[in-house]
Amino acid sequence: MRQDEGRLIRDYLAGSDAAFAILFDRHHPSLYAFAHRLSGDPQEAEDLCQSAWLEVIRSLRSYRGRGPFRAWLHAIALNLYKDGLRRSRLDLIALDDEELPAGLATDPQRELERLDAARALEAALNRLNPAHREVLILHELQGLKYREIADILDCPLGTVKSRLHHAMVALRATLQEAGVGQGLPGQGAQP
Amino acid sequence: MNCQHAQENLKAYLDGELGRLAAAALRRHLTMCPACRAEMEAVHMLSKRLASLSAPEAPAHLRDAITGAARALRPSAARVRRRVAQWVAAAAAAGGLIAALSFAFLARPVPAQAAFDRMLAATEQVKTCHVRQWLQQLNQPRDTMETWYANGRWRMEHWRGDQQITLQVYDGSKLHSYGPATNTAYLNISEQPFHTPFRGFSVSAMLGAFGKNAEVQLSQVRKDRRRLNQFTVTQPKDNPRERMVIFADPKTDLLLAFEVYGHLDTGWKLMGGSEVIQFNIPVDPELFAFTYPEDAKVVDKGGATEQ
Repeated sequence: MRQDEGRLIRDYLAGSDAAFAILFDRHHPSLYAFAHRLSGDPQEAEDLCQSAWLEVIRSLRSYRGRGPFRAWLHAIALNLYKDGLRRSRLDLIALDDEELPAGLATDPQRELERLDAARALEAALNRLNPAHREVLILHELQGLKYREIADILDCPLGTVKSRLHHAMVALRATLQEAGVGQGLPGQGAQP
Repeated sequence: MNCQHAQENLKAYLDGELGRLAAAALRRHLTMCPACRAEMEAVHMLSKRLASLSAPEAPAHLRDAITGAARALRPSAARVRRRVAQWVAAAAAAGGLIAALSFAFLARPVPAQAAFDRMLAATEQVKTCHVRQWLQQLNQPRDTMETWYANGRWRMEHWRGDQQITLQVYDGSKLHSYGPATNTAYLNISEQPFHTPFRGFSVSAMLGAFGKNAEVQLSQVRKDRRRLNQFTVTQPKDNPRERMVIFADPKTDLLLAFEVYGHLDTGWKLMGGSEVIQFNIPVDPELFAFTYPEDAKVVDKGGATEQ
């Protein structure tokens, strides 16, 4: 945790709304981006952020700087996403994690060719299995360190390392399947 | 180190997360293996592409809602909350009644369009508003509500003593209701579109929540030589045993008071309603007193008068 974040939390608990606002402004853009990337939906990202911050607000007194605040915040959002909000929507929408994004189902190759590189990459990211997608979002897009990710996922450091490697392999394979892997050497090249 | 092992370590190496000895071994392997060097370049390029994806931008309005919650929920705010517990807003009342009295939200066109239009124009100037909460709602004297309204967005908290029952957030088109999923987390329990524009503490703030099939009758009642607009909202198909009466200033169509009636075995009874609604624009306090529907039998628990 950044040194002054402990002080901000203490100040907030002592009655300073400004301290919370600083904490919020510092972390909310990243949290929202995380929620949006996880859920793929702006409205759901808002719900997730609100729920995560409410959880943070309610738990701050017991938190007391047990680890990086950023990691704690991400962990709360990820758990909420897994446990509650996302599942309730999935019950209605019945999305399949392995399913192609809407609009790609009829002719994935041609459709993906039409997309620009960023959208293709995001589409490929969304097609990964949840464990690979989570770890890539946390590290590559959110910029969290392996140790923080291990705390968030509650797993050993080695698992993070291994999962990231496999996630990258899977992502490249997905891009190549979709025909947008140009410029990327083939995976698993052997001498 | 063989190629498979080397490639498993490439990502951690590039991220600076590989141990010193393993990194040295990998570097040695890379000097001898062009395929793994190419592989490293590929992993590096993909990482760069991922890092270059633009971050979705957080909407600004969440800040008000969340910092407002932080203000209300921090431990030192509890004392303040108790002190101001009687204050709620008209819109809060709409939301709270929805939750508490289980109005069904079904649909039929609302006829009082002219009144709505005037009200929409008038309520643009309203920035904040509070209602002194009546304390007889469903025999829950500890129920209180708190609300904020700013920049077209509204949030309301419903408390029972020190326990929060619901959180509702209106985001411009929908009312999101949250309830406690656990002791600490909130779950989005419903999402309800408003069918009339929401303008703070106005008649539309209440009517918009009822859905398109609610029937609304607009009439005028007199009080102290002043005329008030009275909106009677019913849902005959789905909730014939409940009705809501909303009183508005005919000049501004700002919400002045409301009542909720239930049809029990003994006839219509007043279930609850607002006491005082305050605006940050001048409103005649005499207007806060109002008359009840003729066929209503009022159960007086808070100063209301038998009809």
